[in-house]
Amino acid sequence: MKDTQAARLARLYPRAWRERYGEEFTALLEEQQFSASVIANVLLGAIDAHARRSAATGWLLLEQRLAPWLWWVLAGMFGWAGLLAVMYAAFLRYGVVASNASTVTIVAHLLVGGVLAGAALGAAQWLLIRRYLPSGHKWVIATTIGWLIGAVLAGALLIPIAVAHGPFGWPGDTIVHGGVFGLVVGACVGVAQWRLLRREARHAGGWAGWSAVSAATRCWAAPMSAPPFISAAS
Amino acid sequence: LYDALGRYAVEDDAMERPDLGRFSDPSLLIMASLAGGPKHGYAMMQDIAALAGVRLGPGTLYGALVRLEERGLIAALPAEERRRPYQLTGAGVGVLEQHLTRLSAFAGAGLQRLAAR
Repeated sequence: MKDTQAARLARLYPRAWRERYGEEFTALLEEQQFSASVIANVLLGAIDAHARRSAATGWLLLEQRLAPWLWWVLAGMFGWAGLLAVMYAAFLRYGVVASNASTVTIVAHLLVGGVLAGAALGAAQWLLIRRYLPSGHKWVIATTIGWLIGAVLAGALLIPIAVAHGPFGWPGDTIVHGGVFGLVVGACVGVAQWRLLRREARHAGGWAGWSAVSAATRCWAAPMSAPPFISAAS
Repeated sequence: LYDALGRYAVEDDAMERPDLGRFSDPSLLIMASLAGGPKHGYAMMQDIAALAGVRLGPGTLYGALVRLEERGLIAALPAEERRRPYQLTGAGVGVLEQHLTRLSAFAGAGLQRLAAR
């Protein structure tokens, strides 16, 4: 087989394959007689190499690009689920069972729940990005502080609305209260985290916005949201 | 084309399985050829043709070589000009020995049954 014919046949294979085996494969082809059976055999080999490369690329994409996002979402869900569980427990304890509990008691429990949830959220997130942020405790502390500031601001916005307007009913409560709560808390957490992130990563400016949107989405998606607790506190 | 396609189907089906018994004919032929010492692709094709009367196509040969190398059963040696010889690894020797022993037992049992007829 002529060297040009061999080179053309070898080009049927993926680039990465050629970089590893191309030279020796071309040399082997040059020692073959140019025939239909050889061409068919090489063609099938090339199809096989492309198929194997596609499968490998697919898994790489899943592992390197998609999986971190999935874990990030799971980490966020873990933190927010912890928060909601604590808040729900506090609501059951003081909002329903002991309806005479003072607002201060309820708020104190919600703050404790917020600290635990913020710390859990920060820790879960830091586990995923610890390669890029060496100071894990700062990330957890920033997340917790951001969460608490956000919760206070959201409460200052939502409690007057709840008092003045009363319940919106379902799903209005979830959409209004949950959305506002998530946006405010998510934005505050995002800003607190961005202050650390900007030292380590470029283009970190949109972090707070994405954090707010994702937190609001979680609150909208959560069956339990701020309204019952806000109502109880009010 | 049909022969090549059939050979590939056999190979892919066989290579999916983890144990040696499921290895394809081309892979087994390559390992048996390399049992006699390191060889490059063309020498393997010649040796296999002489050893088993099977003429592997270049696509089939390298499809099996890539898989065997990925599984650590063979290893590439430094290139000699444009050719690159391959040799069996320790794992490859063990796998080949195990597989040939099974084949030998299978062949022996089959011959015994034929003799008993």
